[in-house]
Amino acid sequence: MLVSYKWLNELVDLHDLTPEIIAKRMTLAGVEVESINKLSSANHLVVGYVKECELVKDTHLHLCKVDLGSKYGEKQIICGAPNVRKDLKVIVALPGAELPGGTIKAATIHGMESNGMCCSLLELGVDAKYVDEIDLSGIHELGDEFVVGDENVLEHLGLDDTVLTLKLLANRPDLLSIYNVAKEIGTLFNREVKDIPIEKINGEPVDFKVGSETKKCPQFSARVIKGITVKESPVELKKHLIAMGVRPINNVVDIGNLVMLLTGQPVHMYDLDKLPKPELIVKDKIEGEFKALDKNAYPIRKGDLVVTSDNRAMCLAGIMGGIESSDSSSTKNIVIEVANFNHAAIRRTSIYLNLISESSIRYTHGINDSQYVDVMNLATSLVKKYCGASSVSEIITYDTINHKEKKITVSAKKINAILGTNYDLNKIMSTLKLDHFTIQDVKKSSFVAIAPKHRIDIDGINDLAEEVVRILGYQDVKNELPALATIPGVLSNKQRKEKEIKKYLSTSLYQVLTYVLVNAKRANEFIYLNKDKPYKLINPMTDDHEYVRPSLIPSLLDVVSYNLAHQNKDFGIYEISDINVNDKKETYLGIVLTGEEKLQGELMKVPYSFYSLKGYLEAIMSMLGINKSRYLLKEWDLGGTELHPGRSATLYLGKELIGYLGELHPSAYPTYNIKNHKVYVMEIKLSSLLNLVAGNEKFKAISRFPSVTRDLALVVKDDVKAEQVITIIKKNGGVLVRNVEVFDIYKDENMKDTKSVAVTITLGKDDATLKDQETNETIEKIKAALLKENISIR
Amino acid sequence: MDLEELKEKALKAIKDAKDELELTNVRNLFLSKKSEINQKMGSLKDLKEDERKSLGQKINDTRNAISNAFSQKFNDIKAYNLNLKLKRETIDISLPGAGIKNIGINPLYLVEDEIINIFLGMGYSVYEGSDVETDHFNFELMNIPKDHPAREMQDTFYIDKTLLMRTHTSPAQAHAMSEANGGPVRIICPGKCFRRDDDDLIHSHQFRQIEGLLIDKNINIGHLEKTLETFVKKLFGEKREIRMRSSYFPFTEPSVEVDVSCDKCGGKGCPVCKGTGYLEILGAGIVNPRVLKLNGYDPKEYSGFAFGIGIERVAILKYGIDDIRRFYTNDIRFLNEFKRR
Repeated sequence: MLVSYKWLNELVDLHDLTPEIIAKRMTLAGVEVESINKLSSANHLVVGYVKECELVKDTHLHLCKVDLGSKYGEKQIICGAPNVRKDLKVIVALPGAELPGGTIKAATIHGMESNGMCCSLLELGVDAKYVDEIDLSGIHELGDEFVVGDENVLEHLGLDDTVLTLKLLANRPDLLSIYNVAKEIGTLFNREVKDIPIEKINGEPVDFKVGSETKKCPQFSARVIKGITVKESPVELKKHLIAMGVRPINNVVDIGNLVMLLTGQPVHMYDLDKLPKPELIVKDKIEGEFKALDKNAYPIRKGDLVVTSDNRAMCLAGIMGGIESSDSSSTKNIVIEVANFNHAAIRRTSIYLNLISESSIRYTHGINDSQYVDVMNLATSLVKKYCGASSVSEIITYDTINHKEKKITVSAKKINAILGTNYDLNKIMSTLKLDHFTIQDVKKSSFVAIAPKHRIDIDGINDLAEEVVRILGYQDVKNELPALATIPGVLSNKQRKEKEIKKYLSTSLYQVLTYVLVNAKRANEFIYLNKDKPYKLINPMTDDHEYVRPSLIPSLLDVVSYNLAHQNKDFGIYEISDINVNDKKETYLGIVLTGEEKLQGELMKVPYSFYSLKGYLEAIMSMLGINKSRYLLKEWDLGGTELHPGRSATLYLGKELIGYLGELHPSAYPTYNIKNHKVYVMEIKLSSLLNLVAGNEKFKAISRFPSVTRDLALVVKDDVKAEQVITIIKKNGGVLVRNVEVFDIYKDENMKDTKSVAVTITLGKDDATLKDQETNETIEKIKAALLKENISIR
Repeated sequence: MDLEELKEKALKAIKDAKDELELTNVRNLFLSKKSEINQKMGSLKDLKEDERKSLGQKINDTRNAISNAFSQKFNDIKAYNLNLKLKRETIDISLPGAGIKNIGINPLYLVEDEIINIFLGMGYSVYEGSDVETDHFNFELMNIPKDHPAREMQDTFYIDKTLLMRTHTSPAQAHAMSEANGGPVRIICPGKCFRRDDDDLIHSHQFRQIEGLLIDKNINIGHLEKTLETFVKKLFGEKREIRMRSSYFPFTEPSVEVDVSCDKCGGKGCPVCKGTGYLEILGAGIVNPRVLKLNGYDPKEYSGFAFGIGIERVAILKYGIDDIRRFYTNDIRFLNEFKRR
């Protein structure tokens, strides 16, 4: 909401209040002033009269002699504007004048002296939307009433105003009226607001009908005024509109807008003679195309409110008038509409048509429904004054509103209980009075407050408490921690486990944070853990953020890609984030590794591999107390071209697939613009693991007797896994086998389809030292079993 | 040679020996079977009982003295040699350490963890919400009915008519209240939020908030102010002050914006705080009685306060970060500027 400081000053005395002081006080009281701007910041201007004007040969320039009055005399000015001509009154910026575009200097142009510049309003810093065609292409043409030599030209143009931009919150639609802004300032600075004199006009009877066929229009009033003249508004009207951000059109339209800016009540004007019938009926069951004042055609649906005449849409109610019935320069007789439309209905139509107007803004936020007669009379007086009028009709009204007062019983106890203050009843009462509340039924410990009509947001005792504290400030609030039962703030088991995992991962991996919303392509990559369709937004901002991601891996790969492109290499990242698919919310962990792991800076580096991922997985399982027997890594069998089929695995918890890990498939690298760097990815449904119950640890006595180790070098087929060899050894070695570990894998060209696997077997007994014979017998048993499985001993 | 002479000669030879080889030679010369001293010992048997005893004692003493000197020297040489060896093994202690590192982290996590810890200390527990919410929880139960103008303040990503990307962490309030069954609540809810904003220096379509909610008996603005002041001083430092400004949120009444005094100027006003002396950090207020009613509470019995902290905003203020998009780009060089401490 833009507010004119000069207009405000007409409504409440601001002589000792600068815009800055007002802004600070209002902001603290909950009405944030976002900015303070001058309409035009130009200075050193004077009205000039073009005495001579000649086109300079072979240029578009004019050599002008301009009379600047007695103080500055006659000056030579070179002007390039197409519309400069003899006998024109113009705005001249003198040398030294500061305009938004820079400082004006005396200069020599094409060898000719020029002592200033003839200006357009655009050059004075006026927004293009308020200037007409002439100013857009040339200089401003002043009317005859301007006096040569006048240095207060900005004032006489109505452009010497300062504009406050209010950031309006949804609870203060009343401040969409400058009169209510004046009242707010009156409250905050404890000063009187001037009354707006309203002439009570009864008018003559008229044959005109108004009505509504829907509850969404609870009130509609009209008045017919005949014999008016449509013309340009005088500066005294236009200046207010411009300062408040509304473009002047003509006197009739401008009066409607002026009354709306002043009171917050939209006013619409129709050309009586263009209405098919002397009636205006509000309907919500009209369908078809509506040609609006902005020259666009809008499709209207059932449910959209329209003002009709003879069943034809004349106005998109509360939003924009139609071309058919709008007034023009030839309009002689008008109908003024002052109505109330349901905020929700206007909001829906306004959003659907993507059409927002000053009027729709006010209706969607809610208007004061009790002032329509005053508004009508105010508009009528102005029409009479500025447009002339031969006859004014009575006000024809349809009104179903229950204009009841909202009474709230106030006690000091209630207010103080909300605010933590210690105000007495009188303090509260005087504050509310200052805030334009009506006070009734004053008793010893309570009174009744009636909200001013414009404060439609006031609804209960908490609202009154807010009024009191925003006006009086927070310094009287007693500041203390609530005296509550002491309870420990502890994390849940799941949260604690997740925190431990983050701590562990963060010692070697960067914890990153990526966008949940991804593009269609990314939403279809790495979807092994989710078979359901990802959520799709119906109103995305861009294609880049259209789907709720079903996997973390694509986002993490994009982070890797970005970093590799920015010369960051050899690192690992992880993210723990919720994944939402099909009414389910699960917490996922994604890890992506690239290049080498730095074991000791650049001195000792080990390439990241499948086993790096497996290491993280095993550590997490161990931290969560999940035994190896409870989960299963299987060879990759999900196909696709995202993961290397020979270097990837799936992770199962029982029958449920809860994760996967592996090397990126060669065909997947180009998808992410990654070149010359190996990448490994792992994704786990962490929530499936966090929710598992882990058994408690239990002490087991450590054997006092020494153990024995024996190494075996085995030749096995390539496709035999180490785990299988270990299982054979453990199964056949019996109780004496304590541990089996692979310590070497070797392969060369001569070994064809076999490889060498070297294992070290630890044997021992809890209750005695192992005898050589026992050891040898066990090893022989193992060897025999291995041979049976086609595994030979080297 | 008499014994004294022999001893002196031997001790000198031991002393002069430069390494193990020389020392062994000296040992062979003076202590071997064929050595003079042992020969002398052998000749004892020809002496009389008493002479044999006294001379034997002397020879023994001499031999022990030589032997001890030898051992001593031998140990010295060994120690010297070991030292030499160790010296040769000297490493460059300036090279990087191996193994466990403290690696960079997205600063939003640091800030969030710090805030969570502060509120855990005040008896709050952590409540988890969901990125995808229903219109009912995100808006209706927060006193933002359909067609409420406040919905325009929070331009929403919709999945369908009922599902949306939550625009704030406030729906966690409604979930927590429904789980508390009309009893007291003390929770914070950290999480992601989404609004239809174009990403630029100061806007992000995705951002993080921490919602706070306390419901109990006789809760007022003063309780809210002290709680937030405690939080701000713990997070930003004891010198920082807070200021409350009236504001509007549909789910609180009265509502406030909370500003923290500017770090740069201490509240006097400077370019950082645009001359106001304060920086906006969070919104808060007394839980609107309508919200209490909507969520099954009797506003006559219970009251409460709620607050919402923008994590990006806090991180930007705390670390002086210039562009909100940096949080979501995850440049390793950026992450390395922030470590868990």
